Amino acid sequence: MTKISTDGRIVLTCNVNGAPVEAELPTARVLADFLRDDLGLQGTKVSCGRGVCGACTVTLDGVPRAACQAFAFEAEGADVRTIEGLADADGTLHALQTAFQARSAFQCGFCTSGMLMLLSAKLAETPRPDRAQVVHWVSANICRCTGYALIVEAVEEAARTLAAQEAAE
Amino acid sequence: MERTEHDTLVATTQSGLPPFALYRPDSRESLQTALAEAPEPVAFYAGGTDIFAAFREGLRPGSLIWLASYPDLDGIVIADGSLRLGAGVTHDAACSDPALDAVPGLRAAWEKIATARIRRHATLGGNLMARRERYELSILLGALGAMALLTDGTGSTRTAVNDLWDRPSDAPPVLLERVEIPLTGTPRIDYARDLRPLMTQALVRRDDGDTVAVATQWVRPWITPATSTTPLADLPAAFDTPEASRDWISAAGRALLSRQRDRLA
Repeated sequence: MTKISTDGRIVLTCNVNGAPVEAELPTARVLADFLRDDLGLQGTKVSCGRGVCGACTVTLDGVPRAACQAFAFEAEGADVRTIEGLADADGTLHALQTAFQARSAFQCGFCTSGMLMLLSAKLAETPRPDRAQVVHWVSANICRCTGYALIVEAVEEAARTLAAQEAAE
Repeated sequence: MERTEHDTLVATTQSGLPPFALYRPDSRESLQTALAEAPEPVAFYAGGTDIFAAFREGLRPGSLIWLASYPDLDGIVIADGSLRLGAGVTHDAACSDPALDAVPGLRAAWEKIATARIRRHATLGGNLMARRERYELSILLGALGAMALLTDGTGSTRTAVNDLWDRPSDAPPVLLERVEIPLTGTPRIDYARDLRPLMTQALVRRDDGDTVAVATQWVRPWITPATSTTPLADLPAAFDTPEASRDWISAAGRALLSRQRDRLA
């Protein structure tokens, strides 16, 4: 058995947005708090705090996860990706970010980082979604401005862009 | 909820959790060791979905037993006349497993549960052991007469999934390892959730008859043979709630039952 901690503290080693991170933390450190408060990555938004709205969505090894509903210790050895790490290192936006921008698929913007992290992960898994799939994905997160139609259109546009890029390669 | 010094009620959050001991058992033996020495209260941790709701409701674990390395919690197999589902199987993993076809209709029903994000990590075990009326696997698996295999590390016990509701909240911690759906009588299931949260209803047909499970988002599933000429007439009084009357649920349930029987014919 791995007895990870009896004193309530852990040493966490992981990669965040491609950079190695090592930190000593309380076992009870919530992933969202670790990212926002300890690492200063405040693009991850916390809204409902119940894993329902998805505003805090990040990816752990490519799998979307509500960071308010995960402990930092789960990131041990993982590749954690937040909105700050979605664009390429040279600043080139992800196709989804470009499509959101082109279609103004946000109003207040509070849900946007979570939407982008969720939907980029889903597009990586399923590059050719139909509209029903996209609607199903988007329905996992909440946009309180109710801008869903533009978000769905942006995902469809990003999917087309990614497909064209793949065909050109 | 917590009462502050100003005598107001505020919701607790997971951000205020005190540190806990953390264990990651990789066998029944190490689970037994962990349970023997872990500071109480002990909580199991897998998908991390429901337990955060419990934290917000006041759960403050002395120890967390993380199940990431516990063996054989994943996967679905057919063995000894049963469909065996590991308690750690996620909604998505279950629905992508061909073995689920052993119970026609179960995949279609299970696919309706939870969002695309939650389905990736929420587990069967968490859904059942949370014992929250709004969670739906207890309806499906209860209707299918599924059995739960529980262990405290020293041995295992079997109990009907529907009887998990009766387990005392202060009972010693046990781990749900797997669930077994008996395949006798070639079961198939139809699940109606269009009226959710007011009511949901599962109908299971086997060669020897039908079983119906009725639930609401506030009342645990009620499971009964659906052979009567007046089905749901004896719906328990617990279904009489401010949100929906018992008579309304009975009437709606009978209408659903008629359609469900047609779909399973």
